[in-house]
Amino acid sequence: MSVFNWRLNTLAGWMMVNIVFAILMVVLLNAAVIAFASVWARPDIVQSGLLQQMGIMLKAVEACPAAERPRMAAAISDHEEYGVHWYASRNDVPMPPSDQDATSFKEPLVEILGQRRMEAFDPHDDDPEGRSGQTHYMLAVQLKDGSWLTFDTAKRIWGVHPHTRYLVIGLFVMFSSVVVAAVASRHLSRPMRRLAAAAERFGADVKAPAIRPEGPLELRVAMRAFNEMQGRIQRFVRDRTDMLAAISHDLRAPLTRIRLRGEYIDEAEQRRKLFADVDEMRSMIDAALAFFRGDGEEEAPTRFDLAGLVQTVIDDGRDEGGEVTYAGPTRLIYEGRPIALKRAITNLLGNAMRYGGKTHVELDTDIAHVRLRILDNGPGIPESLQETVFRPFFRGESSRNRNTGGVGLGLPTARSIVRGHGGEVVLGNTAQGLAATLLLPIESART
Amino acid sequence: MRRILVVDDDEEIGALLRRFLERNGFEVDVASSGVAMDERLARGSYDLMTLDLMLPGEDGLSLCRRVRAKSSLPIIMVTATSATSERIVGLEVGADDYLAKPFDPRELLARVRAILRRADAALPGPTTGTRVAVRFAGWQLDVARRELRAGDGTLVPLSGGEFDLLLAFVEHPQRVLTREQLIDLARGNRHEAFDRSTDVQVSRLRRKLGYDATAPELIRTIRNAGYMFAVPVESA
Repeated sequence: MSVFNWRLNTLAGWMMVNIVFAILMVVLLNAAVIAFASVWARPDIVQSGLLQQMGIMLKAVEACPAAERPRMAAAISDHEEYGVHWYASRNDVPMPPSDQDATSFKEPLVEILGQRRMEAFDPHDDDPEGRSGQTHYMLAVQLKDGSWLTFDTAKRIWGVHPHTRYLVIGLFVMFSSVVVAAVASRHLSRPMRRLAAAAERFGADVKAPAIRPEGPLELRVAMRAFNEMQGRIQRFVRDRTDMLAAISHDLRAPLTRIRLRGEYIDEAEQRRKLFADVDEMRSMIDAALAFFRGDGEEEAPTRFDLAGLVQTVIDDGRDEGGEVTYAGPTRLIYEGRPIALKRAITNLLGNAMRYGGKTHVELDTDIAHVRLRILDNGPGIPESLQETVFRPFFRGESSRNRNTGGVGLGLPTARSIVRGHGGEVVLGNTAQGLAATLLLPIESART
Repeated sequence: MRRILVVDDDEEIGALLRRFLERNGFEVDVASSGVAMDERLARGSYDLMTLDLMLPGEDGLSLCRRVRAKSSLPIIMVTATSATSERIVGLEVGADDYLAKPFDPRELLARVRAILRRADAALPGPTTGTRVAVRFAGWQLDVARRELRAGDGTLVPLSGGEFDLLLAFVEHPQRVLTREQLIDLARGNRHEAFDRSTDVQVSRLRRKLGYDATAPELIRTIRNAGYMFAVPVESA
């Protein structure tokens, strides 16, 4: 790749930008933390009680005769934390002249001692080169007779022990690096995840919309290629579907003629069988059209009584002579496509009644799902076939299905309808027979 | 003798339907296009027409709209799809009923008879308004879409038989209907799914209409007579 070809909006460019950005962010964050930490980690001198102590000491020293003062000062010095010294005049104070009269803690001191001259010394600010030889923080306060008392601290006191402090800063560096790296790489991988999600969606739904190409050059190329492939497959599927739909449609006219001609067959048994054949072909055509056109998809979602729908399907099944029991709420509001769901539930219940005899239907809800279970008393389906039966035109043991009709589209249609609602249909064997479980995601289900 | 006009571009189907209906006591003419239909209608009067939706030239929907604008001739729409949308459109342009190919000719016969009976029986037929949508006691029944909705818009699913029964009630409100009349009226809309006794269908329908417990009893049992739809119905 030549330098001129090296554009920023490529995967490599994105990675470079991301890494640079990540490093910059880490550096900035840590600089900020160190700067702020040195402020808030330092104890507040006003709240430490040190000033009150200083005030008391100062008054005590002031009350002593001048000769006693050095001894007094030495006596009250705490050599661990701070030193107290008395000087007869300002010139004796080992501290360069300072105009830091207005120190941050002057106010509280004035409250305790009344208005006085005060000078503070900060070895970093006032004397960076250390020329004065004074390396401690120091506060000098003038007594009423013009002499001076100084307070100095040997070390700068941090809120935490230095080791702990370094540990905290180190942990923060690590933590912020992880956060910045995670954010940056999520940003980098977002287009890739979109592409992966689009591919996955297309696998489940052939009508999935095209993906909008965005992100680094290489990924945009991949996305466009993916869109083209998806478009070709969709056209292919559509052509096939249209052809099948047209054939199914055209079969209706000859079937109507056959049905009408059947009226002139004298032998009753033959006539009955011919009508049954026509009915079977008609239901096959309807099933094929329903599956390939997905005729539920043009139905608008609406609020409806799902429990009422299930009971209607059960009533219809009972009218056809099935033995079906129901356990569940009498009403359950759900938002979805009732005609499509009725078809799905009818298909599942039809299978149960056909192969399983006595059937029990259960409807219940948990936090996330509406669950419909259709339990039959039949032979069940071997575990190895429990997914295969959802393939279009799959017909189990041919002998079993030949006699009972069906095109092998009932389960695939049911599954595609339920998946269209964001749900799932699975089969499993129970002690009694087969259990078909239909799960619908709850968004608006309410009893 | 009752006269029926069959409009279908499939000549064989036309001939077979003619033969079937003639055998069942009707006088039948066949037209294979909109133009032929116009000629037939201009020359004679008919009691009922079956109309195929897919015709060469002017299609069935347009013909239906045109005929309905001039007369109240009962029309049964016959189509090659069972898609809900086509049924809705068909009923909305004024067809009295709808049948998808391939149909059971005896179902056609049942519907023809029901519509004719309605046209001249003691029971007045439904006004055109009720063929689209009606309201009663807070419920809304969309006849074309075959949808029953509660006051809050929630759809309450009905089976084919329950819908036909409710439609029979709604088209004859506040009037005592015998079980036989109900079977007749409801069968006109649907043939097979009415095998269950009327009482079972009524109890299922009551269960669904009892959805809103505050509503008054909608379907009242009239001892030794039948049932009555107890609330007024207005077109929506």
